[in-house]
Amino acid sequence: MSRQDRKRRQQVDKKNARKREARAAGPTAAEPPYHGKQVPLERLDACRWRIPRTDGMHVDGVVWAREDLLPDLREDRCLEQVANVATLPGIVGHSMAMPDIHWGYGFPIGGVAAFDPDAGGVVSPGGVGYDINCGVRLLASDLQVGDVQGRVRQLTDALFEAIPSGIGAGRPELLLGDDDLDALMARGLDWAVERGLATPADVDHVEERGRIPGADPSHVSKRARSRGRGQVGTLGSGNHFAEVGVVDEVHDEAAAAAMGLRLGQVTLMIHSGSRGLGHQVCEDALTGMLQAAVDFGIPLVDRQLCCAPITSAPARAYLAGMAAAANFAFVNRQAMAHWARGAFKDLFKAKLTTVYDVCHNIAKFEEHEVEGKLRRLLVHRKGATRALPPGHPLVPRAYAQTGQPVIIPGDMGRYSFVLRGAPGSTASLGSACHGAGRLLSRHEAKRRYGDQDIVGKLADQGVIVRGASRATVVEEVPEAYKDVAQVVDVVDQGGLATKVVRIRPIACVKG
Amino acid sequence: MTTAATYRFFDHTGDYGVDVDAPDAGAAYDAVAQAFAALLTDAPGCVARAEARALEVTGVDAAATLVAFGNELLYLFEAEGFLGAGFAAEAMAPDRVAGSLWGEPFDPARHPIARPAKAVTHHAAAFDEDPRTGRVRARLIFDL
Repeated sequence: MSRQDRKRRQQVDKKNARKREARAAGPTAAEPPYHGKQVPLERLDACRWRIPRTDGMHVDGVVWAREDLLPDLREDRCLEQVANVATLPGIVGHSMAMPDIHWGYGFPIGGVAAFDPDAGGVVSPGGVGYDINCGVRLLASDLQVGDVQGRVRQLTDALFEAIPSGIGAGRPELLLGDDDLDALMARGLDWAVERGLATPADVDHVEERGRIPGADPSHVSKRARSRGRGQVGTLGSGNHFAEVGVVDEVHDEAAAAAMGLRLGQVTLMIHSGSRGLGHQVCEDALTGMLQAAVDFGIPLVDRQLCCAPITSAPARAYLAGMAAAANFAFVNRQAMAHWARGAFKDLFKAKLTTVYDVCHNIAKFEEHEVEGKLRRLLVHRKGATRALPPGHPLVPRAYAQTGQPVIIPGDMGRYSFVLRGAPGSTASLGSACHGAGRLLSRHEAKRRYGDQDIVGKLADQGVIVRGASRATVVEEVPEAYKDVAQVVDVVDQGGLATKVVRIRPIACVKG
Repeated sequence: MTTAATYRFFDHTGDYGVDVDAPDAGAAYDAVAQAFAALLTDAPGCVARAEARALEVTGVDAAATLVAFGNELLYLFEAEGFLGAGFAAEAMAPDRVAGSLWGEPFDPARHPIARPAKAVTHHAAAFDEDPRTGRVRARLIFDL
């Protein structure tokens, strides 16, 4: 061996020894930027607040909120989490939070952050969450409220029977073998069309046409498959639901007409995600990403923010598995819509048409203009909805003049909203809120309302609720949420999206 | 004198957190398994320690190993229908835990599920062992 080769070998050995030492020590913990301090909020305008960049942050934080929402934001640690996300390598623009922001794990719920692959940007599975492509499907029926009067309980029962919820519940016809599961994950809604679960019109009205590019089922573990195999077309638990509503306010006649919505119309909204399959894809990736953070020398202020450069092998593997899980979620919501169509047809000979289907837990490559330059970025939305304006190339043809429908569920007692993406959403990289945002912890909701007859109380208010678990219904009590109207007002006034209709619930199926 | 292991749920806006205080690492893992059954069923006593499953998990350090343990409990419940409610440790190291998970097959009639969990998160996860007394304080947050 030449002297030069020996020297090179010594250098490699030293580098490997350093790597081994680092691995043994685990991920490097860094001090969160505002740890133990009140996070400062500087007013930018009526709807936006700046969290100034400080030690470790690469960019400022920006929070969309009105002043009256701020005390609730200060109740938990969500603002710290906005600052924490700003410490991730390659973040572009701002670490952003939508007005329904609340304390999450790693990213805040309501968090949006974009990363540039060409500037060392990272992907963080925690920025997508366990429930990959959790999202909402809105369907419009050809019924008016009068058509269902006196039969809402019957409809609720039919939906409860048709849409499996609760542990171990599933439809035997969708207990898939490996080949079918692979095909479903690779092709998303195209698979559902072939199986007779979806129509081409459904596909035209789903974000990314129900198929995230780059999905590779070989990056979905055996464990993830065994968790998800029997769960296609199942609701799940927590805040997931299938809700029948009635359009009770129209704010924008033309946009409502474009979406096939009108006053008094009966609608169905389905909120669910990728079930155990997606949860396991995330968990598998986090284990690898903790190691990747060590290998790439990325200090972590919160382990749930573990990440890897977008161009690295672990990141590519995660993105391929994430896309597969996202496609699973599209099919999951589609299959539930299919069962619900059966229930509406059997009871009322009625039709359900997909208005739109949005993802709110996802990371996607999109082009956005930042500081005057068009850049291809990996946008993470953790509890945030895409809200693209009219004319944007990613908006489906049916909504080219309207802007992308933005579906914002509230709580099961009050109302939900449909908005449309507005030009001002360029400031949030085409994003808006995803719901009302929690006000009370689940524990606190249980303490305050655990001994009350929530189902009876809601029935008195005109909302029939059936839940697989009483505890879930209690923890999801309307009072546990902010008033979604306040949250939506911020989105509207801030120019991210504008109100189209309000929908009042009349029936809700909970997991 | 050592006191018995205890667990306590704490508030997290969208999810559930659990704090464990235990006289040693093995007891801490046992308490986490008990907390898991309590979280899912709201009635911890309803799950009998009738059968054991061999369980081994690894992590980059003690906190990551604890998170892996929590996720293993979830996996066994969701994929294999086994509801764990106690743990007897046989080998303990910061990066590896092995032992027997005690519990029983899930029976919806006897184990009403109050709130299934999606995952155990790394956020705020902790496993701090007092080097002098061996006493452990641990923390986990479940994503619901």
